[in-house]
Amino acid sequence: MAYTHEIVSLTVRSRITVDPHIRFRRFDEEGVIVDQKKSEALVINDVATRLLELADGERTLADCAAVIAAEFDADESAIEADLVRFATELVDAGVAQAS
Amino acid sequence: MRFGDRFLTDPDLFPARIAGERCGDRDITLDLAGGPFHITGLTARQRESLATRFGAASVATSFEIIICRAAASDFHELDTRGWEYSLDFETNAIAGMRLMARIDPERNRAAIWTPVDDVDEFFGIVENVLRPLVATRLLANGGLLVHSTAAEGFLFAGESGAGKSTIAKLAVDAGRAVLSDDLNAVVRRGEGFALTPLPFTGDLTREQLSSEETPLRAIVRLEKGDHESVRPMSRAETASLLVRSAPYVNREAESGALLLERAAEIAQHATTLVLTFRRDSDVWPILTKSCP
Repeated sequence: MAYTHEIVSLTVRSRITVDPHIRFRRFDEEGVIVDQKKSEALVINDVATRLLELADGERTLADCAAVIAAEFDADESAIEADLVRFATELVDAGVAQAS
Repeated sequence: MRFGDRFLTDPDLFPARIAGERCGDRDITLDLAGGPFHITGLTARQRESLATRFGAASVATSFEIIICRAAASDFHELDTRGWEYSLDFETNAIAGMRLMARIDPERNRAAIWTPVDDVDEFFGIVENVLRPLVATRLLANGGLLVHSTAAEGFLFAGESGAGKSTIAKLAVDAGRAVLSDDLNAVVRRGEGFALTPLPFTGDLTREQLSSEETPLRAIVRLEKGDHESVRPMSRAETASLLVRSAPYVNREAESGALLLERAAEIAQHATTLVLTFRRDSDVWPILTKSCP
């Protein structure tokens, strides 16, 4: 059987939504993502947690980065780079869907 | 591969409802977390098998399991050498070696179809159904079944290879009371939680285990190392550990939200630690100092 894997390429203009089969919850300054298809539960950091809270399929990653940069008093371009990388990992892992 | 293909000669004949010819007319009550379970339709030998393994109780029951006869020819003959046993699960249905089971959670009943009447084998047939049943019912009733070793209020959770068996052996060697070295029930008691005994063991024998319920003191993630140390574990890490260590229900999509909520609640009611330990060390002084 041939192995195929779609390469996900996100930009700051991409939007993501959490896949419906994923459970997500914030705990203080971290979050937990539960993927029951794989019996996995991953701990994510504060910025990634905030991204999942903001990711509604309407906001772009740039929109999310602007909110997070203001909340964390951080450099927006650095946050954008972090979000694109993290969103790509989430989509690759089947946790989120991109549009 | 279809549900039941590995075990059943004709998976299309898997019972669609809870009905069938009882194996016998004996019954027994098993007082386990998630129950008590009233098991009916037993032969004398089947009852002896369950009484020897689980003990018989005289309490009001909340769930009925009917044992029904199945033909040996309904099941494949399997060569189990070198085989790690696993069951086939579908919503409310289980297929395994010489075993079919259907669960009706709304009516608090289930049925097991099996040709097995052997005293030394039958309890294993029932245990294969009780384990997921206890997991599901505990979650629904405010508790959680956790793949873990439990000793003196400490719940050492983690995946295979994390060191649970080693910790259990160290605890027994140190004269500490161990509940189980495989599956433990976290149950709600008042405002908090307790660890209550279950007869689902790993390497330890029943004679080595305690039957005393204990308040939950701490949830501990194990790390093997070359020294002993303890550090705090965050609530998120703890919830993640409990979810990963909650067998059966962590694969059921409909349980996801409740499972995460329960893990968070339990994490909030206990000290949460990461223990680094050596295989030959006495971990109890450092543990009890961290969680008096």
